[in-house]
Amino acid sequence: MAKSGLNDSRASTVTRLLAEVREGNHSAFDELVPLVYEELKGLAHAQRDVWHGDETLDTTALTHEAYLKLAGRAQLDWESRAHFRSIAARAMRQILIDYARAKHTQKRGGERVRMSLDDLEIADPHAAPEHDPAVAQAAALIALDASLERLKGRDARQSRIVECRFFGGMTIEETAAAIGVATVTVERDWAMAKAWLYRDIRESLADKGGVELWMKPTPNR
Amino acid sequence: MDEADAKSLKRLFERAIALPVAERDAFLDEACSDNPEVQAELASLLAAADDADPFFASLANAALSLPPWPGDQALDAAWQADDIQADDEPDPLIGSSVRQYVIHEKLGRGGMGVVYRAYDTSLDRTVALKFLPPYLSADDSATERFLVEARAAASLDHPNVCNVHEIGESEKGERFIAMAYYEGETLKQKIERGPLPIDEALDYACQIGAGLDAAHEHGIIHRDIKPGNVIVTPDGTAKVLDFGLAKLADVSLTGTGVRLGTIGYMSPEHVRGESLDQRADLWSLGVVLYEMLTGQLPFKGRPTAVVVHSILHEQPMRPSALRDEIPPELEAILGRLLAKDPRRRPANSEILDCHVTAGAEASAETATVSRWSRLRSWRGVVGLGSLIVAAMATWWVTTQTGGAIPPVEDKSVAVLPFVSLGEEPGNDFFSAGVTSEIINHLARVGDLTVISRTSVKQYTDTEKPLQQIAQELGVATIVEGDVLQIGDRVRVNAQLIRAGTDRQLWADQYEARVTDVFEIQSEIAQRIAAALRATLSPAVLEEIERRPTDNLEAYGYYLRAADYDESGQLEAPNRESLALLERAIELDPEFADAWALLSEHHSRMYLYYWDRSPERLARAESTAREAVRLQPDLGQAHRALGFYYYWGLGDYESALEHFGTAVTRIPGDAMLHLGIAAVYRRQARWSESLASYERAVELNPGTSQYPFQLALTQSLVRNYPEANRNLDQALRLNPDDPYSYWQKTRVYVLWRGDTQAAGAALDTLYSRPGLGDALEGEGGYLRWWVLLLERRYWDALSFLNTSQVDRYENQFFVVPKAQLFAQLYGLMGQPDLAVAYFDSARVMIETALREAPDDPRLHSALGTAYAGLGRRDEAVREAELGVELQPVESDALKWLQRVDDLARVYATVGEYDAATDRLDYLLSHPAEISVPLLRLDPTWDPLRDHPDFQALLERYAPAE
Repeated sequence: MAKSGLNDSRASTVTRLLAEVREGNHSAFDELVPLVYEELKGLAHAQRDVWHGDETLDTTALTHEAYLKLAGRAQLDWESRAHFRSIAARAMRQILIDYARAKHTQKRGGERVRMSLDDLEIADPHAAPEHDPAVAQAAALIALDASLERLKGRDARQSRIVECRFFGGMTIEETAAAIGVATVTVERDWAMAKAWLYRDIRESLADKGGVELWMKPTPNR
Repeated sequence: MDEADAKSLKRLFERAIALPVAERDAFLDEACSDNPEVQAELASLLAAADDADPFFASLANAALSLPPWPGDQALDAAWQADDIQADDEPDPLIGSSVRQYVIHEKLGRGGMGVVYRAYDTSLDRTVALKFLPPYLSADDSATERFLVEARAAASLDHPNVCNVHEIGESEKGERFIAMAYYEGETLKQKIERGPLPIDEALDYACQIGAGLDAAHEHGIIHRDIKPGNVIVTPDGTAKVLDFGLAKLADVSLTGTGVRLGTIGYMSPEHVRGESLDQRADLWSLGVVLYEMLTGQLPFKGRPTAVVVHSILHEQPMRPSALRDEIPPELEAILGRLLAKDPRRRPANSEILDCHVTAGAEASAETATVSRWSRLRSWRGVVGLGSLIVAAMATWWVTTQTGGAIPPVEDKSVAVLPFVSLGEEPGNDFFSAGVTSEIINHLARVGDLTVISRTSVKQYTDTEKPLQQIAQELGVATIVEGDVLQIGDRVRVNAQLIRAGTDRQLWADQYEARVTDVFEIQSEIAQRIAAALRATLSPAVLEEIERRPTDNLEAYGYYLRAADYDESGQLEAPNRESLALLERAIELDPEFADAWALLSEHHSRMYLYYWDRSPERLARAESTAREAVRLQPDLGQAHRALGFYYYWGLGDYESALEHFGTAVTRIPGDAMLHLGIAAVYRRQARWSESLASYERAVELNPGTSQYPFQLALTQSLVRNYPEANRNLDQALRLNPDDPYSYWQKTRVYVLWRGDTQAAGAALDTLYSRPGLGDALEGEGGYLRWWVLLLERRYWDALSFLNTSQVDRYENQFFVVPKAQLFAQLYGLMGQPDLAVAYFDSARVMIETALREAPDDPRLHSALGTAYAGLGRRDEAVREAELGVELQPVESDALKWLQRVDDLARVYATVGEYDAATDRLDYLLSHPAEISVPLLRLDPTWDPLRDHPDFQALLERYAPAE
């Protein structure tokens, strides 16, 4: 199968950046995220199955395909693939949060909205049918995003682990390889981060009687 | 909260979260007593943790329920409608004919198509016709490829596999499968009425397993085992349907192998979209069995995302918590089938123990009854069966009210050498390192009794049953595991087993980069400690989590050096490992553990007179101090400093001070207790010494040096039966240990005056190649001694004539050979010869004294020579000087030897009162002297008529 020159050069860029990520260059990570974001967004749009409620937040197939498209035929090792997936996880987080904001804006008319603890409690659509579950769910995701940013300030590693595990659907082993720590560390940090995030989201909503979230339209990327 | 707090917070969180909820408060109270801030934070996080999982599941659900893209709602609706329409559609096929089949009624509809009951007019039989969905009929190569597999599955001839007649194509090009039509109902229908009797559930599981095994042998994987795919006929035979169809559907639908099938029964690898092998079917079988037994799925929830999360990350509810008659053995089987890692799953259904042929031809009743009773009889049976079960067990989520496993009272554990699975060179070394580091970690935990490395080494690749090993080592629990290193990655499996019941207390698998092996080791150690309910202080946790070095090569040298038997008393290996440690330090000058061990090697060089130079002693000190400087809290560093003071300087107080510091860090370190016990012994603190030796032996029962040292102390306190027993044990562990024979010889004499047994022990010693030579410098004295006690003076003379050395010497005595000749000639009534030899001895000792004028051994020896020469005053003066130069507080053992020498000198020169005084003291205190010995020894012949001496013999005679 012939590949265009453009694709080849993009593939080599991705391969090079991935190699740099492996070397520990974090700006290479940041450079890759938008590339992957674009690719994933397109794929997510095309492969609606992945998003169907009967399936899961398992983005394996999606990221695999994005990877093939971006990295081309370059044979990368397991670890670089794990790095790639962690980048895809970051991109996936952005995609999802964008969706959530769009959803929220759509329903609430693009206003500044207050999200309350109730919104959060009804994140499960079966729990409180009188609320609009879609809004609550979107709000919960936005709250998670904000809380994850706070966590990043305290413990950047834990926030990356949450990204990989939750948004990237990565296994403990993949996460460990991507971040460069032992699986036991991932397990521990994952458990602790979940507890911290849950408490943080609850507290930020309960203490302030609701948290202000600036709802903006889907960013134009 | 500072960085250290944050760090300890993480550690404690991890520990606490593993505990049952009810025990967490107590743990926090204990672990954070000194840090209320950490405690409060921890309590709050733990409270949140319990709700966090469902919250995240709902978040995953929220993410999934977002429409894929704004504007896609129309597509969404179409998809939904599609689904609903299908069932309401009137079925035009009923009553029609497809090839030779007349279609009668619709039996059902599944993901794999619609099934009809039909009549095969050509073969005059009722069949089931399954029409595959249209997308499966597309004529592309992938579909063809998997139809091949479906056809292969169709050719399976097994009583538990649904019989497929043909895979055909209708006149309109629709693909269909014609298969046997069975009366009966699906397992799904059965389960819907509630959990099945255990016998029955097991029977079906066995039958499904048998069908799966047969298919797997042909390389056919089912991929969609679930109750709806199993038909149970009225005679109780289970028939598995739809082999090979799931993959066909997967590939046709998505082109990428994205999963289809029923989520609740899917294995983790299936859910992740990885390639599958037969173990995926065994997982599903496990799910079906779980459901038959408990009436519910192990991984359930709504929506799908929750189930997926659960399959990938959670442990199911313990089956016996849902139905208490489910025996642990059955739970173990379920646990094995439901192992997240397919490599931990069995490769076939044999573990169900379906020895009786399942199926129609066997009476279902007898099969199940015998199987069930066999299963029940596993309880309490010690043997292969239960060992297998123990190895299979996994862990379950239990109800919040308590742990599934009763707490372990006896917190003793032996870590068997981890099995090295890798082919790569270095894997063996790696697994040895993992073993030894886990032991080192556990030795830091005060509550635990952990068998030391040298004692477990003998069980490398052992075939012995765990129970026997546990008995030999005197432990209640055993840790075993394996290590696989591939490239720069390493995988470690470990499990903790209670030896008495073969019950698995904990098991886990770890995978990481080689450089992260320290974290795995520390993790395993912590999990074991937690499973044994041992308390870990924050300081201990810190120590356990510390990486000894970042340089793996240096660590390798260190491990090889540590492999040097810590009880070793030989020069060459000590020098070798010393060189290895110097390499390690060259590579990582900050490697405190290596500095500490290096110091002990220097000290040992000095102690055993291999190198008695001041430079050696200085190096022993500087290396130990460097270790303390680098790691002020390192137990091994203080241990090294302790040995420097003990071996190097004989400064017992300082030695004990550093040993005391070390013992707070590494309370389970056998070598440390050996050092402490030895110092106490030198200080004449006999009971403390005995207690420490006993602890050391408990921790290191498999190394001969430990029971040997304990036996020495027991000889001193005249517990001869125990001493003898421990010497036998030492010789079992090392039949080539000359000192154990030495001490055994002495014990026979001291205990019962049994010179025959003593001589036999010596004969054994000399019959073993090299042992006599190893003792050449001092052992000759012992042979002479036994012959003397037997009054075989001629034999003693001829023995001395064959001996190659001119004097016998160790840290306790110096005896010129001439003196032994002299004593013999004196006893043989040849005083002229005796005097001549005593004078030779005197000259030799005086020469030696010019080199070492303060050596107490030489002054005692000189006193003995003077006494033989009849120089009474000089004899007494020298012998008394020998005692003065070796005050009891300097070294009780050596002092006792000097007092013994003095008593002999008094006896020889006719100072009988003084002699009996000294003997009285020695007999009333721990010493290597006893009434049976006194009765034999010709040295005391001059006193035999003395009433005080006779009174002594009576007073201290051993009770019969």
